[in-house]
Amino acid sequence: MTPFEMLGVAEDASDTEIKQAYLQKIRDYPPERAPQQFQRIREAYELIQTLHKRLEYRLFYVHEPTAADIIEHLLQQRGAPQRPSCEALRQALAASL
Amino acid sequence: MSKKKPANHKSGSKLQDQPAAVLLQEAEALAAKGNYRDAIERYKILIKREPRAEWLSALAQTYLQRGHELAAKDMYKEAAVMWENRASTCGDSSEQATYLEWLLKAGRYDRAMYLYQENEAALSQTAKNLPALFGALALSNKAPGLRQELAKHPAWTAPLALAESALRAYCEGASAEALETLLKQIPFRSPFRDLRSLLKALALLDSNPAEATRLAAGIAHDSPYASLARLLPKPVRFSVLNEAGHEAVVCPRPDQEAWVAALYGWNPEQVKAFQALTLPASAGQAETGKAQAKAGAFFSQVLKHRRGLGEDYVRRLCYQWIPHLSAQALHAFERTFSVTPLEKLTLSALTLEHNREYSQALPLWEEALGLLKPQLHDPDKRLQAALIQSRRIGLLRYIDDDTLADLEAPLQQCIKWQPEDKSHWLQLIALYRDAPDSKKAYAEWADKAVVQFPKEVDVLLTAVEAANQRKSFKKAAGYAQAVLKIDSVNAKARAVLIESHLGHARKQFKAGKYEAVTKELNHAAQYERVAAPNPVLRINQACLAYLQGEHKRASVLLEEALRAAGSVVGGHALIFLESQQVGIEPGKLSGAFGRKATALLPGWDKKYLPPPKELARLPRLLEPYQEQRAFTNLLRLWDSWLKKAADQAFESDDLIGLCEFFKKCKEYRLLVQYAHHGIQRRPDLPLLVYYECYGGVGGDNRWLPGIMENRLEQALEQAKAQGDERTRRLLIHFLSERPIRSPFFMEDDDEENEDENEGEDSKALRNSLDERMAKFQALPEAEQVRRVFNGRMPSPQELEELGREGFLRKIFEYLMRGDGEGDEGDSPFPFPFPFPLPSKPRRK
Repeated sequence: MTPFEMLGVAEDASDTEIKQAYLQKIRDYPPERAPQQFQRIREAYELIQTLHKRLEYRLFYVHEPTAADIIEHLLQQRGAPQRPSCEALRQALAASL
Repeated sequence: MSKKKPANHKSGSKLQDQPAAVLLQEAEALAAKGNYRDAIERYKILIKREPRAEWLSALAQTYLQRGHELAAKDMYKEAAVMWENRASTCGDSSEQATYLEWLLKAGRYDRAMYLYQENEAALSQTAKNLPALFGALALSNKAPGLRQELAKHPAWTAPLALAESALRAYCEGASAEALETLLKQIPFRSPFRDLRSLLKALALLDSNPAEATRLAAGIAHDSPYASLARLLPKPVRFSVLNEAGHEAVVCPRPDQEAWVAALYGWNPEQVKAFQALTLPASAGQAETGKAQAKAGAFFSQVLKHRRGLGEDYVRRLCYQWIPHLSAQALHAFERTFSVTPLEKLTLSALTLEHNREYSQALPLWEEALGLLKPQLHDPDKRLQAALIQSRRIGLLRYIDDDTLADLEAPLQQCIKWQPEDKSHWLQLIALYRDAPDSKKAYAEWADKAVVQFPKEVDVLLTAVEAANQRKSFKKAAGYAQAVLKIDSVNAKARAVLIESHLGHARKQFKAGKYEAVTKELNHAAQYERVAAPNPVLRINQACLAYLQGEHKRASVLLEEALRAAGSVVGGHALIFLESQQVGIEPGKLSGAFGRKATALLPGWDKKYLPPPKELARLPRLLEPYQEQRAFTNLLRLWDSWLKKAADQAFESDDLIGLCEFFKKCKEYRLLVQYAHHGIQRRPDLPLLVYYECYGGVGGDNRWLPGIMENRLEQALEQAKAQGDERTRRLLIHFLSERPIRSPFFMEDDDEENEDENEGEDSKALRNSLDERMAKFQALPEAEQVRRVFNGRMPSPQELEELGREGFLRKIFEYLMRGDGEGDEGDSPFPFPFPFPLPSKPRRK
């Protein structure tokens, strides 16, 4: 998960937006209740808190992802559940018979 | 296309010739083995010959078995034909329900409907699922004709309409409550009963997956909706495949995958990405052996499924990942995404850095800077350039190319491109501070930094330090005042201000203006913290009291000073040094203290052994006096104390602090003494080896004998193994080659002074000694020892007794005299030995 995803901000978010998102996140995950999550949020914030840091992150940040990292990202990408059209459901029923 | 016939198949004419008994035996055997087709062929021949009842019955049974066999292979059309052949040949029309199911599944709806209407009463008893199958087929788009037929039938009209509207309502997004109202209208005995459960489960899938699972599981396995229901519950549809415990979308029916995934919010590309990335072969990180290849394959999978994962995400991910991978990964990345020349250079440089090829990464970063330089009018590009230059600086420092010449221009560029980055300013100022001959630049850049960061305490304190170093005490006091405006309790700024007023007070002392002294000391006292009284201020107040005849008050103030110093030895040393600064003989002040005149003089009590903690405070207390003659005198007086105290059990930090102090004061004998004893107790500290060797050669690495070089090399390895970066750098600097300088000139002598001070004789002497030293160093170590000892090899005992300093002295003697072995002529030095060793520096 990228630090932007971790804080739930857009990649072009401003310093203020990032700080607000960070403060909200640490309210949701205080260190005494969720120390690991808090640590991850803190690390994410430190990577992107200023324009300078964001540019540094974009230029030099090196990271070897695991399958888990990527799947976690994919899980975040899940859209709203969609019901099938009548036609699709009729077709599915036909195929299952 | 010819079909391969089974081994027991015989041609028609051959079978026709077989006797009935043989044919019957074969037919029974084949049917028993499940080869119904060949069994039927034989029974048919037998019946043609003679239609015996038992043969007809056996044929009917075999037809039915063959029908089931075909239906199991989804060959319903052929299965229905088997039933029809059975009815026409054998006159057996039983198992109608089975036949109807086959007809429906074969798409022969008209015939099925006709038969069902003909035999509804009987079929409703024997085939309870048939109506549900009719209903499901009518709802599906598989049998539009059947839907129309059923709609005409009075018994079907209402349930079909209800089912249709419920299905439509679900698909059009009706709420669970609205759908429930519709579904409730479908009666329990309706052929659409299971559709009711299915639609309810679908509607609850997102909001109440447990209930959805329960409802789906409640649909009987022989229901026409069972197959669809089995796709829905999460435990069935998703299976845990990767080590992180993530669920992968794995649909048991690939043809149904798209709409099922959409129910959970996934699009087909995301599903494909899920499936590819959760396969055990690509999931997880390879550790050994084929790690690179495995990581490369995983990288390819991610690139391939970039649409499902998100193009932007994959681009960023791969950009950060490439430095860990092989060159092929960069090529694949370039083929997939458009890559700018700057990005390509950055990726290549990061890859080299990742592989610890730092020196090779440097030119690539320079090339990247070259690409940015024409675009520096753009603020973003300027910032990028500053960041890249900053990275270069980091690399240069890491590979120890960190002299002023290496870093000055890059740091100045960083400041120019990104003046708001304080760290570059502080780095440049520190560089000037530590480099010889840069005192002016040091002060200038510190002043410029204050203009840029007027409210930054660390910058102001750096400027205080720089001003103090230039002896611009007024300026330093001004900066310290600025610090106190921001940080009113800043101890360093307060100390500077106290010292500034004390400096003025000392001048007034000498002028005998005691009123002015009082004023200055009172000003200084304003900055004193109640919890941390300043011993130097107390001593100066005591001096003033003494000079004004208030001996008792002076005595009280001196007692306070000793307490404030936190060290009896250090406090006495301060009294000794401070009283001399204001023109009072320490002995006289001692009288005021109510003790013997000598009581305050360091070195008076020769039996006194200062404890380690007391000595550890000396560096902090005495550092400001290092360059004073009185301080040198003090150390001479303390010599025996200090040497005696060296063998005590110091804490490592205290010991290192003392060694550093002696190194700064150029007290090399004491430095060797403390480092040597320290090594006995703490052989694990390579820094102590550095101090011992540094002191041993008077801080000049030209005099390093091979044995010391070996020890330093070992210490370097030890520091590397311990991850002790500071010691590693000190050792590398000390061991690295330096321009040869004469040991007769101190480190802080600049070239200008050398030229001014050095006469012709000295120059000739230097040149001659430099030449001899170079020749001497070129000799093998054993030969060096032999020459130093006038052509003989000394015994180990003799060497031990001689000690390091004695050995160095021998080298000097050798260089002075020459020995006729390659060094011709008389001594280059015009007066006899002893010659001043570097350990006794000449002070300015």
